[in-house]
Amino acid sequence: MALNWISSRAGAVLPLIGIVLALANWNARPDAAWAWAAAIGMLLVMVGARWRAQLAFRRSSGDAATVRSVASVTGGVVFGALIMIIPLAVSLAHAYGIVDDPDSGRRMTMIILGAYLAVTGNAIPKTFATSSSMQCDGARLQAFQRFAGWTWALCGLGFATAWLALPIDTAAPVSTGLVMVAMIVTIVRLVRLRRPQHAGV
Amino acid sequence: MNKVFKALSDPTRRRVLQLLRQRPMSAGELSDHFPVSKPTMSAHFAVLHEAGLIDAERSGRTITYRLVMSVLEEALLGFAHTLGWGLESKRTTRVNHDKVAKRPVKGEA
Repeated sequence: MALNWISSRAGAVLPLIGIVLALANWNARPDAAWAWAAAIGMLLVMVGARWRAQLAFRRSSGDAATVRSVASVTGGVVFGALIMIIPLAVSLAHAYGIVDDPDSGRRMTMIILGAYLAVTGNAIPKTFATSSSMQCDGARLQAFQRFAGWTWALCGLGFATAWLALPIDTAAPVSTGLVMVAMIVTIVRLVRLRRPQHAGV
Repeated sequence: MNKVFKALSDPTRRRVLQLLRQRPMSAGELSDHFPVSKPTMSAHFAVLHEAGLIDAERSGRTITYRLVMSVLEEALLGFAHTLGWGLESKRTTRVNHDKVAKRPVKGEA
């Protein structure tokens, strides 16, 4: 309950903080106006998405599916805003000479992205998917969901650790490689899941 | 999270979760693996369901349970199994049970 409250407030406040930071950056470095304008545009989209989700929730009867979808939108807005706020804050600090290393913003953004992958992977086995919609039996669907969950949770942790511990030149290819491997492995398992299983002779 | 820890603290419930890892199973199929009464098993299923670790689907008179554990919860299950959470209390309960069973019943020859 407390987590929902925090998430809801963070979803409302973080995009606005991002817009303020983008405007401050625009003031400090007007030469990159298009970048700040794009950032403001994306943050406004987040505000709009959250507002629409809240509106849909107020109009609904408050059923579990609507609550889940609103929580999902809010979670996405919080992560998205965090991913944008950190580089904006570091860029502003760099413009005012507070931070020397301009790459620290990128590093932190990637760590948050890794955490997002891990959190998303963690929730995959809990997502509701019917065996009829996936055209396979329940046991195989459950095995696939568990496999995909573990793959993406470990990929996210590896991604975040790479950006936390490795030099940037190494972290970039390592993290990209991890995501590629996770994608390929998941797609292969999904294709095998959809293939009809023949009984042994 | 408290409900999850409570659910994982019992070895019987952990065994249920391990069985459900293989495939979704009916309440009867699961109960066959344990030497306990059906109402006791129902209570275990209720605790697991309340903790959000299993999902129940009713078709006719059959209830089929399936695993809905997140990766973190599965990792916790692994830790609980390795460290043997709740085994001590289970052992104590079993010893007390045996003592009660061995006590001579009044009126027996």
